[in-house]
Amino acid sequence: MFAHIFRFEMNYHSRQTLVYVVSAVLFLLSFLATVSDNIGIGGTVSNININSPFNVIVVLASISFLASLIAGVAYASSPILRDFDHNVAELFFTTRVTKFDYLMGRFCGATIFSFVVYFAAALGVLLGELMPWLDP
Amino acid sequence: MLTIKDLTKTYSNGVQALAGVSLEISEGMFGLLGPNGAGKSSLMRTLATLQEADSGSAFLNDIDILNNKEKLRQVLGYLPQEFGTYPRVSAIRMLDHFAVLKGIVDKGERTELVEHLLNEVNLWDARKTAVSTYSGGMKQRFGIAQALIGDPQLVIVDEPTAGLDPQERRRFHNLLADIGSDTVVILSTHIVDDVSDLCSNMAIMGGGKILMKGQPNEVIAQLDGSIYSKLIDRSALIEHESNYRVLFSTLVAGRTKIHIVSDSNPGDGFEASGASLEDVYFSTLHDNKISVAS
Repeated sequence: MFAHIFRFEMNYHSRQTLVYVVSAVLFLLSFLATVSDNIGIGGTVSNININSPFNVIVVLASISFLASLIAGVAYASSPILRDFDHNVAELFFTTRVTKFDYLMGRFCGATIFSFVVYFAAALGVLLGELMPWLDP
Repeated sequence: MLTIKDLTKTYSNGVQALAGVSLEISEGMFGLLGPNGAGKSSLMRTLATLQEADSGSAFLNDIDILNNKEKLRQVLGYLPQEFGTYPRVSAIRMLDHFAVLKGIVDKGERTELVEHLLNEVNLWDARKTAVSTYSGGMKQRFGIAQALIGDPQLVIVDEPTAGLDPQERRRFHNLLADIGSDTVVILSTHIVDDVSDLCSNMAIMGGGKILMKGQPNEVIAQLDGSIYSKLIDRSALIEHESNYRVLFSTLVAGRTKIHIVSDSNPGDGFEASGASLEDVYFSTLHDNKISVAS
């Protein structure tokens, strides 16, 4: 039961436009911060490598603030509130699903998906450092 | 057999929704008729384990509905008065999800059941469309498919035909009529025809109480011979209402037709009219001084 709710939750999020929009924004932010000197996140230092551990951690840490503000709010509320928003709650509450499976399945599905979204930022750094025009 | 005893419920704003409801409902289709605000939905929601009662008891066979909700949910099919579904999730996927939540874990069995139900309610062609884009009738048919998952012993449908066009209503009636006769089906409605078309037993509810119960044809027979009707002008309605016990008025070809109840023929242009369930409904409400805006 838990596994199914978890999978359904993942599948549900994968159909949300918001996921792709937020992922794209985060990807672009970290990508641009990596490949361009004009765009910086969190104050970069000029004489260290753009893919140095220090730079990567600054970019990702800054974005995680952003991610937790935008995506976090959207994701944390969606699993529970959407049943009431869409008026489906009564259909769920009359089935034999237990509170634990229902809440944990929803929670874990949403958590994993917010990782996925945040992962787009890391991908931005990873791809950004490989761009050919950068000074090696 | 569903046995309800002295169920009461008063909401925190002081509205008494259920004022000691007692009913015995046997297998088959049971119609619960009443105007808006009669307490029908409160009763339905209590039986569907969605809200608590203040006092009283309710048993489905030997399952204690009020204290053993998990047990009842295993044999319950519920179609709420209003429901929605998620955007961008197809009917077949949604139904499959509900099937798991209702405990049908085996994948093969579930696929078969979902396909069967979608065919049954005539939604197979629209199975890949999101339910949120369905028309009213299609949505109600999806709702009944969802309620029938897993052979429930108690099926509760709350005002299912409100807002459906006549054709969709007929189709929905046929679906309800197909539910097995060993199932307790409670149909709550304010549409009299729903009950007279479908139900072998019925009760009329008003002001949180059961005002009358019986079999439709029996209760109609009790009123037979005492119903008279007359076509009048709309302006004469108030005068007639003060002189006779007017049950209700309808419009026939632009003129007002009133039904009254009287022990003997009142003359004055009235014609004897066969009693219908509508007469029973309105005379019951009339006797109990519950006004209905008509």
